[in-house]
Amino acid sequence: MGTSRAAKAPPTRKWNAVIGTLKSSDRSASTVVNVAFSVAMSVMPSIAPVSTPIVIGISEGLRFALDVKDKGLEEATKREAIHISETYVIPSISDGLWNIASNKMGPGFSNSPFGRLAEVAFKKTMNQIMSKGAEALVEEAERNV
Amino acid sequence: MSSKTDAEAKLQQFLSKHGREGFLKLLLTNYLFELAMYYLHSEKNPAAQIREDTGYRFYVDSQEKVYPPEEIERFKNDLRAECKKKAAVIVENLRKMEILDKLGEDITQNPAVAELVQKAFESITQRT
Repeated sequence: MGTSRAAKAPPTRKWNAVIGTLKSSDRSASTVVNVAFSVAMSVMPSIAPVSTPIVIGISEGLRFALDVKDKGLEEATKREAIHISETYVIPSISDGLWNIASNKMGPGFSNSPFGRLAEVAFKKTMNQIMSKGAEALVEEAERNV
Repeated sequence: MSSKTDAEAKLQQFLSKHGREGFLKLLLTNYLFELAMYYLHSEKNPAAQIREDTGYRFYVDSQEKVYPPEEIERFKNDLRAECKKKAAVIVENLRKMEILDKLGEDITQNPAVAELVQKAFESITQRT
């Protein structure tokens, strides 16, 4: 029995163009991404379901980061009532921050497919920054050289 | 294992070097990449006359040959680079709207800023 968790392709025949870009003998990441986002967004009544979860994540993450810069980690986590695990310091902070963001956006957004994607991206970003520091973005640049 | 002191130092180091724009670029790149991978691993949708799995075509070429792992990895890196370009466009739009400074506040309390951010996000459909 299948247990695939993949979503169905967006409900438009235009999605066949995306499959066409993937099948092309010289497939280009630029074309694939541009066509995929353009077609996927064209069937959505608004961008809000895609953008809201990450926008609230940005706001929470940035607010916390600036608080740490100004007042230190101890004070920033106390203000947000984040419990820090002694064993898993960084993941527990990322997790606590996402719980705050998730409560603000509500279950309609946080439990949606885009909410789940935003959660993965948010926790990954916070973990990268708190474990690698400035290198997190330098590594990103080097990866694409 | 990182300590609280290490985590604090790394976070401060990141912000000192890259600022809030760097934070936004990294988070948006990570999100857009997740979004791209989500769509590019979707299944067929017969009701919409999409009779092929997009996820299958991600790994198998038109001659029905599976791409070598290193080629798939390179393609993922290229996709990530494209997502980074789109993230940079969104950040640039936010900068032009002069709302970068407001993004560290509780955005749910400021509908005007939230609306502008949504608008900046619409640029993901622009060709980059």
